[in-house]
Amino acid sequence: MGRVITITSGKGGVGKTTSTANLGTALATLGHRVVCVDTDIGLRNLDLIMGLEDHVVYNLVDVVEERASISQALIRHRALPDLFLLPASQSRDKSAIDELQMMILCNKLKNDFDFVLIDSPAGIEHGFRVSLAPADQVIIITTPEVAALRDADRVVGILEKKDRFSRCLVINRYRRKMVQQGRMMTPEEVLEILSCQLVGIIPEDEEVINAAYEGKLIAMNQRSEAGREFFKTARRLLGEEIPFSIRDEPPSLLDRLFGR
Amino acid sequence: MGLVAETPSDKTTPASRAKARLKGLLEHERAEVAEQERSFPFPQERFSVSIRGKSDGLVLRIGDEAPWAVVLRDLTQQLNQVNSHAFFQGALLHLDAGGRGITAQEIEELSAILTRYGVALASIIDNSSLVQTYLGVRAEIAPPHPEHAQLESLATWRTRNVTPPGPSAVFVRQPLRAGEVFRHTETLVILGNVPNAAEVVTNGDILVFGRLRGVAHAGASGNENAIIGALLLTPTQLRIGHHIFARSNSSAAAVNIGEIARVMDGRIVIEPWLK
Repeated sequence: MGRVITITSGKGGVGKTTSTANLGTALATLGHRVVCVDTDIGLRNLDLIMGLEDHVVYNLVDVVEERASISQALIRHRALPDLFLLPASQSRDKSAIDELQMMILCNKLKNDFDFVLIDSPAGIEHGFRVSLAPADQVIIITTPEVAALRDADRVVGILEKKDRFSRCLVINRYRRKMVQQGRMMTPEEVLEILSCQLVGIIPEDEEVINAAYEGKLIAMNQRSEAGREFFKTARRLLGEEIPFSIRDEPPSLLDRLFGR
Repeated sequence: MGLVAETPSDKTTPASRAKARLKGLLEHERAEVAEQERSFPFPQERFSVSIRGKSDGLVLRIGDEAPWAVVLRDLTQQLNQVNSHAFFQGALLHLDAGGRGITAQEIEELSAILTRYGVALASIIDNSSLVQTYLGVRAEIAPPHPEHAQLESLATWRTRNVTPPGPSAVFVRQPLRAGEVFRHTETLVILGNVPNAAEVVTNGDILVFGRLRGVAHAGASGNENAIIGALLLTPTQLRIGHHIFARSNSSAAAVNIGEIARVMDGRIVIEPWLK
């Protein structure tokens, strides 16, 4: 029986879709069967980030409305045979699916997959509630910015009322240099605001944008620091204890010489 | 080691000040949310109907989740608010039913109310983007089986009632956008591209003078003699009647200019337009 993990953030643009795609990639590379489900109906993007946009035939709404079977709608990743995508519909809106339908769908997916990763839409309205309905675990993505933190806190507040979740936090777009200079919040400061279990710190990495341009997954590029950190995050989700090395690296000699 | 203020003795940093500011704010907001939920334990009543003026008439928007009885009640209330009925007299009204999937029965009820205020239903927008022209049709046509009417979706209702007497075609002069669903009952001639994630559905034929990348469904009422033609035929999916065809790679480059799809021996076959 698989585990359903919903990836959410409240605020848009903090990295839900990128994190879903790359945690899926890492888990699949580590030998698990993974399906990434895009619930952002009407504004789908997970297909694009995973480089599978040309293969979309059927979608989540087609499955729910029984125009297609689950296996017809699933898209297998070319390079990673254990990674699948269930795309969202682009021509409908969030009201096309409700909580019960999502729970029934995910119960079926749990039989075939070790991990069902749900990419939630931004906001805390209907679409968010639908994406949350089947979750065994929730990962909240935030950046160390005030707007993202405030919205993440609102999400934490909503989740606190439902104690069946285990609640995890990923800090995205972390800039080590700014943190060293005291110009960006440290992970400890973030955790003082959001009481969650920290499972990942993903550094700001220009490669993320370029990988998306090409429809490639950053987690498949082990030379990218963000890609390596997605792997560490995935291994922490699997229960491994991996230290957060990213924040301990001392400033380089050049940095110190020039007072950067 | 910077030249400005931040010496090691200075304990606060921009980041720690931001944290303190946010922490105080969020504690306050959490209390506020909790208080709100104590006094209003039920979700706020959702928006049910709104009427706005537009250049070519009025737009009536119906909320997706409001119960139908509430919609009718709120609509009557709104129409009554403008005391003089003459205000609406002769107005054209476009109904935007959002994504609720309005039924034929509901349209009948709605137009009965509107008629009392002298308002004519000009068009219906359903599923956010699907446009069905309603003008001039409603007056003569009633659903053939009123007892089943509420079970029928608008699309089937239209299909059964508005079949034209002879073959005719509709020109679609603007290109379709991604995410748009265009439904019709007659043969469609589309002057422009049908992009990926756009969908064209009709009971007649579909001819695209452009590139067809999205989904096209011809003969949607079950007509297997319908055809789909395009200058560049690289669809996500083609359907004719009940047959489905998906080209394995929609971005494939090597295709003929001008292709036509039709049903032969129970499956969809694509051939060059000019043999």
